[in-house]
Amino acid sequence: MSQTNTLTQYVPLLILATSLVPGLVIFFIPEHRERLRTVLNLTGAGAKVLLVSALITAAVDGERFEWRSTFVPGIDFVLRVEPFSLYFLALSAALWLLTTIYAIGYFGDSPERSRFFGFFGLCVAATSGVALAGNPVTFLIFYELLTLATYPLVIHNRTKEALAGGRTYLIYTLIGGVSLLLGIVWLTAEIGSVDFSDRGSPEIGVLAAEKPAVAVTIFFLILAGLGVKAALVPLHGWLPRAMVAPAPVSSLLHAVAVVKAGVFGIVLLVDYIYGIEVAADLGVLTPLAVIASFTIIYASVQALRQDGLKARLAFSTVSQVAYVTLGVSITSVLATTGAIAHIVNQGLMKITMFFCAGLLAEVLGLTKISQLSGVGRRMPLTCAAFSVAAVGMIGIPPMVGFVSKWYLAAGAVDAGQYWVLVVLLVSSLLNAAYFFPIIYRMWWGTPDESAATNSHTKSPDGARFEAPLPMLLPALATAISCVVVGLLAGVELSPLNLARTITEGIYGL
Amino acid sequence: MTIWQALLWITAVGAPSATIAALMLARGSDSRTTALRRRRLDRWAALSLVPAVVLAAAGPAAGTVRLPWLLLGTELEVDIIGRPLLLVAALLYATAVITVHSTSIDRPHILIAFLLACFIGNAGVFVAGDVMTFYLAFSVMSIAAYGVIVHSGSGPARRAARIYFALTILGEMLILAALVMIADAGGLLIADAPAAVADAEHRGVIVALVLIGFAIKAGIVPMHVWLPLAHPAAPPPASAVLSGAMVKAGLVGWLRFLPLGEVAMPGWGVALIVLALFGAFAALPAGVLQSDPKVPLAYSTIGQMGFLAVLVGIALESPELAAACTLAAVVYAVHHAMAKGGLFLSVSIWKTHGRGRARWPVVGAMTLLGLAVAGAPLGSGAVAKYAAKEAITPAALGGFDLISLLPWVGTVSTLLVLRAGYLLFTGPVGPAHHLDSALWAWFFLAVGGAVATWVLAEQWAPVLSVPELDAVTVWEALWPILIGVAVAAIAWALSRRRAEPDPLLHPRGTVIPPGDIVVLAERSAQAVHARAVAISTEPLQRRLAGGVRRAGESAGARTDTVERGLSSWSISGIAVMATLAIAIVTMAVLT
Repeated sequence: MSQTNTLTQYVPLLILATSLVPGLVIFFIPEHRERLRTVLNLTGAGAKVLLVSALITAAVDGERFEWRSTFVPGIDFVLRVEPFSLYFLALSAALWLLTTIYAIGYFGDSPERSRFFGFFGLCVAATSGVALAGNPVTFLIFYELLTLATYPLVIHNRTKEALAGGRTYLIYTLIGGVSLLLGIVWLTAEIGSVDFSDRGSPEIGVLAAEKPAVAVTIFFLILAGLGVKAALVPLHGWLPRAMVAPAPVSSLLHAVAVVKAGVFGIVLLVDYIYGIEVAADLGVLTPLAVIASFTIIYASVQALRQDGLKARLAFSTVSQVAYVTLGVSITSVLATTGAIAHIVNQGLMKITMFFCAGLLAEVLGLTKISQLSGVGRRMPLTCAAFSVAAVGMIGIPPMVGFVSKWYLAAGAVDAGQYWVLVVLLVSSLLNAAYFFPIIYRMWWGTPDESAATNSHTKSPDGARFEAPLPMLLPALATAISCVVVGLLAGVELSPLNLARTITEGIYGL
Repeated sequence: MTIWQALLWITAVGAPSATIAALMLARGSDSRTTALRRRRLDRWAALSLVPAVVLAAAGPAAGTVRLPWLLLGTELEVDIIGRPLLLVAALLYATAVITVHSTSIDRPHILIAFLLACFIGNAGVFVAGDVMTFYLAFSVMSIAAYGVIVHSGSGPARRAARIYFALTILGEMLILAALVMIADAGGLLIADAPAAVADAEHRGVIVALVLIGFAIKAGIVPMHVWLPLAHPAAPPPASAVLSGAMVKAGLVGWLRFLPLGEVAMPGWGVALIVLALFGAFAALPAGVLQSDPKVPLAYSTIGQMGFLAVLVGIALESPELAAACTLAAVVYAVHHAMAKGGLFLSVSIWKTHGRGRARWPVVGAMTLLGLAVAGAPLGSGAVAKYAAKEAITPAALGGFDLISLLPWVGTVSTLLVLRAGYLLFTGPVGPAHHLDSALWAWFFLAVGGAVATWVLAEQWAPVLSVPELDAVTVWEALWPILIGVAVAAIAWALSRRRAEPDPLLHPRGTVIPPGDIVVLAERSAQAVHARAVAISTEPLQRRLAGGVRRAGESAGARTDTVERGLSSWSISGIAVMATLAIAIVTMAVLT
């Protein structure tokens, strides 16, 4: 392994540094040095995208990069690059770059940008750490760091609602963190510090055979901790409240950072700590599938009831992210492939929708679905991007959402669990029921003159484009990727095929 | 695959796609030049369908497209079922696009863009070689049709579109479930699908899902309700493609995915036959009692799709007749697509040419189309009926010979078409246009299309060369129509005697509302919705959230103070360090 190679072992640290260093430096940049801050931000984000994409081929070919150092005696601090971590890194790197561009347009001249971008960088650094973590303890450290780095972003506006939303977020995640900490400490006490491995660690197999009750309890302790960020019902309450955050934060929160760290952790828990066979033998997968299914349906019903655009999107996230949990809880290569593919697919679609929600709010001042009648004529590109993502969420081809849904459904059939198929279809119907009225209003609704707020700061009269380009272009880019990634699902190194490679590792094929 | 074949396929898909993009993006420096550019694009939009016509003409010579990188592996092929349907679809859509351009329809560029999108999906359904591509095409068609139906933006159009969409999404889900199960059974390629379904573990479930899922598109009772609402609401060229080409996608779905010819499924076969026949006859009262000419035409489509469903039911019931029934269904579908599409277009044509010098040629072509819809002149309806007759023994249906009812479907069609014609001729007619391209295209479709396409289809799908199916007499095909004409004449004579407000003899769509049972469904849905809103889950949710919050507050003691501190970033940095320190100490203590 590359352990012996002195240079390549620093690759994981380098990846971490691409977002950590700019983040830390930006804290000390004076507010008015806008250009310097932008250059730093974009250099970091760009470097990360280049670095990560350069590594993908090597990782698929079996090359591993690992950096290890003793944390406390007996417990190592491990960062490693392998296909699954790289997969999550690639998603976060690409979307971080786009969100940074969007955020630069979004904040314009508003105050306290240095604080914002500083924590923004830290948040992404923590997410990278979560992705790179090579054992549960390392994972825990970055997972908690993520909680803390995100909090200042959520309360950025420091309004009463923002503070309340931030408080709810902190309470949920910190309590979840305690559960996670307990679970990991107990696990480490039982079997020592073990690295994540493709088929699950052998030590846990021994534990599961000797003390199944302990193994199950630890599983659910860790799951409860992860379930908060992954927004599994009933631990989801913070997510709809945290949407008071500025649009770029919501985008990152829902598509990449926090929620995804939660489900990424769940995949690690099921497939890389316990291993799919051990987890299946312990009988923890069926309860997990039930929780995920309940989350999917419950959150979809709640989404139907919301009039706030971001509130509806938030509940939709709760529902859609649970697809990943559902997929890993089914013992089938197809279902796990679909679940892992959905990590990227949901990210692309949801970030597009939040970008668009932010555009509508900033340019026209519209935040409620009932106000959106006829906005398609005023902001056609924004509404087109939103519609593409929403149709994808329903699971209609050729958008990416279809690819993951197909694999999840095929996995359910493959495993003989037909009730999961029913859950997926009912949830798609509910998706259609809560997304389609939005599309309908945008394009076919009659504009309500009284509700329109024309004079908004970011609506440049007589401008060539419907919105500031730094905000519009990222939304268009992600919307196009929703179609292209779906259409080109069969290409080598497509997210789907990467997900398949990862799954083959998990199942030892 | 040669370069020419590849080019043909690329232009067949690319030309309409590029036209859609151009229509959407066309902008001028001011609103006048924008309108001018759009108008120019509208005029030539129909030409983008020419490559598809060439593709249909080339047929098997166009080869098979295999693109493993596209979607989850894509395959396209023009086969014996797809070829004639692709040809009529291309001609019908082209005529519809020309008609949109020539008649005064609001925002024509948007309607044309949606029509072309429908075409791409519709044609894709006919030529798809694998399950995934089929589903993609079917979805594109179904979703784009929403834009076609809702186009006018009127209240009825919105209601029709809403009902259409609800049913469509439901159908999409059923079909998705079916296709996932078919793929799991090894039927990823459409050529393998029927055999895979026949051997599948849950064959009954798959067949049920396929039957119901595609019945929504095909307009089989009781999933037909969107048709009588959507047709009058959509602009006439749009209704033409809805009724002509789009409902046929449902039929193709059945032909592709049911285990026809592989295994006998008498239960499902007979169920489909009974339901389809019920629809075919129930369409008569529901359709005749209307006052908008497009509603009886829509009900006539329901009736005739019922007839096609009977053929599918027979094929499902008796595998030995499957090949003949499939071909008969394709021929009948082609025939119906041309004739019904032409009739719907004639609603537009009559409004613009009903008074001018083209009046009598228009009447002549309409009569021809009406006769064709009634199913007689070229005997396709009779051929299909003959195939059906051989299939079902009376005993199979409890001693009652259902098949003897089939010719009466022709009578139903005759009556519905006469009713539509009566409403059209007595209805308002606009000022006469000059002889525009829409009229010529329509003539071409009505006279050339209805005859030539039918001949071509028969050549490509040689149903008449199947032995024992060629002995169809003219009389057998003719008497149902004559009875229809006679009944219509009596009804007309009666209505002349009785005074105006009689709801049966002077119907205005009040006895049976268009969309029949959907009206009841809508009412109960509203009641359910009202009740669902009343039962709120909010208290439960608040209690849950409250509990979590209380737990958090008791755990964190003075959270507010802590939070105020945390909102300054320097302090939250310390908090990060502190948490890390605690974590490290805990680890150290434990190990």
